Amino acid sequence: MRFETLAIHGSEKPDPTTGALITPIYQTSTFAFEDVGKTRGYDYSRTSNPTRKVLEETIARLEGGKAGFAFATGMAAEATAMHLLKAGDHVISGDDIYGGTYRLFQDVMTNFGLEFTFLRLNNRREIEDAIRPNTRMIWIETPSNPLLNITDVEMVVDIARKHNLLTMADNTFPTPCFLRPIEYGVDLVVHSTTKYLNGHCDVVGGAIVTATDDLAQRVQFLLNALGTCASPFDCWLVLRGIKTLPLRVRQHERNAAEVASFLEKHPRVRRVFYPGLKSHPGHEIAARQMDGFGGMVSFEINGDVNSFLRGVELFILAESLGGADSLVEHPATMSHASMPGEFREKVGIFDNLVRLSVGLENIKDIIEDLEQALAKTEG
Amino acid sequence: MISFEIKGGFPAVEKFVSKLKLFLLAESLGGVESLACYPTKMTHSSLSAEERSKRGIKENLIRLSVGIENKIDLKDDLAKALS
Repeated sequence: MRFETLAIHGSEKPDPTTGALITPIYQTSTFAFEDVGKTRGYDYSRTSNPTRKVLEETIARLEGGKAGFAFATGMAAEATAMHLLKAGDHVISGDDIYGGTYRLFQDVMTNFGLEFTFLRLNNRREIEDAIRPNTRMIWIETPSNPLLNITDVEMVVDIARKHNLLTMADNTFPTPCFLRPIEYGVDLVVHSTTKYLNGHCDVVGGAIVTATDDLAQRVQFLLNALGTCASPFDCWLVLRGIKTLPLRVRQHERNAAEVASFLEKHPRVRRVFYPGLKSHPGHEIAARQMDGFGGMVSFEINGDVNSFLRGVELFILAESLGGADSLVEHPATMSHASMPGEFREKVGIFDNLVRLSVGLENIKDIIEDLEQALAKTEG
Repeated sequence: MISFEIKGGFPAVEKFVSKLKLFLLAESLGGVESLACYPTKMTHSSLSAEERSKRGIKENLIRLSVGIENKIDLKDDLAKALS
């Protein structure tokens, strides 16, 4: 089965008892045992649930991994993944990552003895220099949030394998439609399914896909032990969203490409960050390793950012991304507010940076809205 | 939506639908999943045989609701079921 077919039939089969075409929501906490010590495959929904199972298998097949796991939120997935490590271990992470990931690493996991080095993952020598005897993992986010920096996944995997390190990629921005990190040798993929996978801004969820059976067993153990799993209804919503993932993300991308080239020519715009632009420093790597550039566009505004954010009418000022609705947000005070200002500036996330999640509305309406808001921008 | 008449009458219909893997034999239409339907015994079974024949709904008619799966997978499925 090819990608578009897997998105619909990756796991879902008509329900064997009723023939229901769509996976039922198995809203049950517990399952009756057939006999002492004998289940029908399920015993308790934290451990496993039939609705969740279908979602997990579907995401795993889309990513080309061995097994998938669905979590209550993207952060629940990431927090669970961190438990693959132990006190004293060191992680090398991209520096311009989602603010919530940064907060988990820097403000929570360090309390449990994990150490982190945040680094732009675009230089082999710098990555190798950051490796310590206790380094265990490299955390990749490409394209990164919010600067859309591109990491050469094959290069990082090559370094990691030479030093026996795990690699973990946050694949929320590109989705498996545009990037399948496991094909490049990444060990674990993590998702906020809240975003493009669900695609309708009506659920929060997360996922992990593992490249090996060994990692699958460890993640399943942790999911059950920590209780970070997703609810049956949330799984059902994500499963429903995934069926149209290929259609949606390709349209998001078409719209984003037009927005990026519009912004690049606008006098109120200082710099545009979109890997599909030839001017983007990661364009060549992105074109090689991805099947598309995605629907996220960031730009630095030449003027008062608040007046722009107040000026948009179609775009909604809101966090999150990847839904049908176009959203605009201000990383410095919203998605990346959990990063200290000094760190943000070092990374290059300045106060005049605006991030767009380009939606599925008519492209003329999208551009017209940006045009009128830029015209009203003060400063 | 596509409908077609299969050569060979009802035995051919039975054989065809039993060999489909991707197209699911089900009523309704318009979803992301591809569905196949046999109007004579499904959507149009409430019409008498005479009325069906007057309208041109023959015993060898099959109706497809084409979904949004990859088109190569869809054509492969039909080719295998027709062979």
